[in-house]
Amino acid sequence: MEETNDQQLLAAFRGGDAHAFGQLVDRHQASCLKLAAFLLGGRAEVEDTIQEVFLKLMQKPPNLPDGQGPEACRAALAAWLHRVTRNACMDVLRSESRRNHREKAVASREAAPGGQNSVDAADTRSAVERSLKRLPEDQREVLFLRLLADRSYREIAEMTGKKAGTVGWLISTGLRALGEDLEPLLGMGTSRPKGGSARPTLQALLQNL
Amino acid sequence: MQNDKINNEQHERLCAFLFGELEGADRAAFAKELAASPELQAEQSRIEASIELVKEFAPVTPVALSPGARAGLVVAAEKAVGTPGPKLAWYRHPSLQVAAATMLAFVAFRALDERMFENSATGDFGRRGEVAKSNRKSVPKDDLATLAPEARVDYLADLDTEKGVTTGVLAPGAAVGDRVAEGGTPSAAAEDWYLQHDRGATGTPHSPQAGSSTLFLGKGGDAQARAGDVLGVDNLFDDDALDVTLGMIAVGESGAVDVPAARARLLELEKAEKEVELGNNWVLGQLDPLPDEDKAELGLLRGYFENVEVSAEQAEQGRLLAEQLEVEAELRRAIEVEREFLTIVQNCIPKPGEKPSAMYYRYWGDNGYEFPVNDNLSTFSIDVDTASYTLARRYLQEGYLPERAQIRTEEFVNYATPDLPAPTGGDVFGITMELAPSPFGPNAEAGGEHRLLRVGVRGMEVDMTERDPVALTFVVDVSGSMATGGRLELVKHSLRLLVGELDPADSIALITFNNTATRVLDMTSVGNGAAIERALYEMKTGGGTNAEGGLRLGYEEAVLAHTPGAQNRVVFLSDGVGNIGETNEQKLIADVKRARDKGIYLNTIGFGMTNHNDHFLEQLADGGDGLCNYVDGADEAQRALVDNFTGAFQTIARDVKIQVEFDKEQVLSYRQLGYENRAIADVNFRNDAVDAGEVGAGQQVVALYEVVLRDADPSNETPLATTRVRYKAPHGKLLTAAESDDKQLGANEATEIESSFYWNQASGLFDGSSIGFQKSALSAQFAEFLRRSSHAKGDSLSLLRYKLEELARTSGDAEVIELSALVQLAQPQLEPELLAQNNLRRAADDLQQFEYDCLRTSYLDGDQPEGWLVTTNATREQLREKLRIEIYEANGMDAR
Repeated sequence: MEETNDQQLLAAFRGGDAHAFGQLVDRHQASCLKLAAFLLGGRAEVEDTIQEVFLKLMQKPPNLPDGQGPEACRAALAAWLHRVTRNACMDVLRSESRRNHREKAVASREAAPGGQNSVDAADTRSAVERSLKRLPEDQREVLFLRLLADRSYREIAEMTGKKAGTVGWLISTGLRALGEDLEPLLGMGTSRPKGGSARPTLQALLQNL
Repeated sequence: MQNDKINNEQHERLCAFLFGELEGADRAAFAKELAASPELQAEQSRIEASIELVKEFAPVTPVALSPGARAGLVVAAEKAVGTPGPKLAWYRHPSLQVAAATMLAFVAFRALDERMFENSATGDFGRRGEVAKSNRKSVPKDDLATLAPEARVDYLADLDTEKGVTTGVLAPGAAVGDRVAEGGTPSAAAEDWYLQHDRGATGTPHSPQAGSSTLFLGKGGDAQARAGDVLGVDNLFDDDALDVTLGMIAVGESGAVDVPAARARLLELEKAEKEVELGNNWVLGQLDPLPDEDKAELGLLRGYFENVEVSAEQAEQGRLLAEQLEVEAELRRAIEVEREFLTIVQNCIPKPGEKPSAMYYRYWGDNGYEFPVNDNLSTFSIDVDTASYTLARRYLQEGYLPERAQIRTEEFVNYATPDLPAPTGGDVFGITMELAPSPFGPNAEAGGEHRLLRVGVRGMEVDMTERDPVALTFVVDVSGSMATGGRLELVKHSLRLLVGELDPADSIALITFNNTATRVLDMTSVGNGAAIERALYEMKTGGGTNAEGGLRLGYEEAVLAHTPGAQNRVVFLSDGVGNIGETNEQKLIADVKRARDKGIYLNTIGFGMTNHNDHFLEQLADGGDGLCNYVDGADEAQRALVDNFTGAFQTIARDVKIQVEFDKEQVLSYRQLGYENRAIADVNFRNDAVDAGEVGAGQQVVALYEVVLRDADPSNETPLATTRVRYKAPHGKLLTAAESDDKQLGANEATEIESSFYWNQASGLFDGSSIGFQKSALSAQFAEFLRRSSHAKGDSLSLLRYKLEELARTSGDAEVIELSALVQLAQPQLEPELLAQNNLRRAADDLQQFEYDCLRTSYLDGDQPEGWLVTTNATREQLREKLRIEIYEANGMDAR
């Protein structure tokens, strides 16, 4: 059976079928959420930002290419959503840098979750997030598309409106910076402290002194 | 670094190769190049490992929107398709939300203090007030929902933004769009949403507006209560509050409100478009072209207004609203600035019952002067650490100014070895005091009224041959970062040095940690040198930093291998422990203390710098009654571990407290330099349950006081100051002849000794004091500069440098020579900072200084005559006004 393409769903939505819009959301939300989380560094605003993105789609849907098949429609819409998501994230980051101090105050109060076993994983995660955050926005964006969305240089160039050569340069520069930054963590894999709970606690040991 | 040999072009090709972007001949050529180049291969594995890390640890992402958010979108979609057209989004326009907030803030301020607006930004505030009044409509409570839900939505949405809650905004968006289109009653969805929000927000202390009310404390509790009323969400249904919300939005009544809002949006978009055209946006710099969606909206809006016949009245309303928005934006900024000003002023006011010294500390973070008539006792726990100095030295030598918070004056003073006489006659401690004029401080050139009192305490020496055996458990950080700058090699070097000092009666164990903790060497006699060397040799770096796991395994080993009669100690070596989290830190410190009570101490040694978390290392060592050192090279390792071996590993006394009593008649005021986090309540000096620092063999501790004397009478037979030292014997074996005569001191029985100092023992000249005294004084002054201490304000860095150079020449002391070189290194960066004329900072400082002086005057001399109050109030007003002007200035605004 033939799948309804994005063009048709948009048309159905315009014609009064709200569920068609829901289907569009289902199709595209994952990649939008991923991009937003990556650009925003896994913050709480991610979901709100994506809601805004779909609201925009609802209000001003883009013109999708006619008669070029479902794949072309899908790609065009994905590219449109990518741009809108990226812009929305940049807006969040900009307004954030303005009220930066407020954010900082909150962040410093956050305790690291978990006990001993989660310490290294949490450490590593935050180190990776920090390193990503240090990259310029354009490098972060192309790295996301290459590493997590698995796009080719050409696809990335189309989505971001950059030349393929620029994309290659951005990826190389970004990876180099990332490698230098993450150097101390490399080669650590994901091993976890062993044992732990079976051991006597320090307090129990001290009792015997 | 190996990849420096790879140029950018090679790196790009390597990436392209790895991502399959190279094809055919290119690909083959590069594969050949790669096979021939170890550098490229190394970079390849680094890239691959980085990618793996990023893929594994990329920010956690939900794969789908929450069901609520999705449902919200579908609801919005339902409404949207029912009413095509551009109206939907406008009610949510941020400027409206801003306007609502502004109005609320404005009325709150007005209700609070009418006077403020009369003599401050009068024009704007006053005019705005009238506008608000003229637009007011009195609305019965019950009609709220039917008349202006937009206003409520905006207001609530704004509150949400303030609280950082943004979920749920979507649903009413659809609901309002719907309602506006139909011009009827609000939909059930909107109603539900209001209810939820009311419940959610009730009782939550919200938003800066509420916070601002506290600024008026003391100006009448009634005013404050009213502020709470106006702003409380509960009272949103209050008539007053309602008027306010409607006042802002009243230009467009229900059903018509979208037109002016749309007009405003159109204006804004057109402005943005123009800005892009002219490229003159000064906030964002180089501008991107207008986003597609904005262009689309602009097109739609233009179309809309072309097709809609705009009545003259509506046009007028739109214009009014646009004007109003501008005024309100200006106002909002003014209110922000005013709020900033009031916060500072409020913080300058003494807290109820606050002592001048406490106020001083609150203002400037330095110990303030105490007045013996009120408090003539200074009590503190001994601190023998030096890490603050060595770390600062490393920073300076690498060309950076150390961070302010890192400087602890007492540790600078401790680093400069004083020349205190050793205790005699089998005493554990000797006390020495010395007094001389301070070369710094007011009128120093003219002989000065400020003097420095040095209180020195020196512990007895323990000969290496007489010391207790030690059982040391080393916990060594071998995480990846320890590879940087040869840190692990320095650790190995230090441990080898240390082992060289030990003999077969001593034993050591070795624990390493990265992600996991590993027992590398069980407790082993130092006689077994081969096993120790093998263990040291095999330590390698890599992985994360699980300091907690390392410490716990270290203590486990220390407990299991506990050697009675020996000094049992864990030694933690790391370049910084990363983020353990506040809770876990506290738990860890509690465990360290518990072990200490059982006789297992803890020393910490910091290596390297970038991640050096010295505050936590210091706290750990404090908890374990041990030293916190910072080792930045082979010399420092030698000093900390070999030269100071008995000091670091042979405890002679614990819970060592010092109390200095000043004579009320002779001493007008005094302040202690440093020891900010070592103070002990005077009453706890003899409370032996309160713990304090530990002292190792031969250690010398110096505390400096800056004192102002009342009158100097050499024949006065009352001591100027008396120093008492109270301490307990260490756990484990007792050492000295004197103490073994006393039989076994009970573990918790304390000993107290004292010594007095008389005016006729004072030196008349700073240069006439002992070299050790001068060293202490000058080290302290350097630390005060680096701390940007309020006490060092106006002191000359050049004078310090000159004094140090002179002392270096006359004494030839290596430490003084080093100190003098460090001051020279610091001066180019530090001096401009000290001299920096920040008008705002200075205005705030002046006000603080003034309030402090007032408090001190009334504290010392009791009630003041009426005239004094009038004069001070006038001065206070002047200083506040000056501050206000500076704050506006700093925000690019005119205070008038």
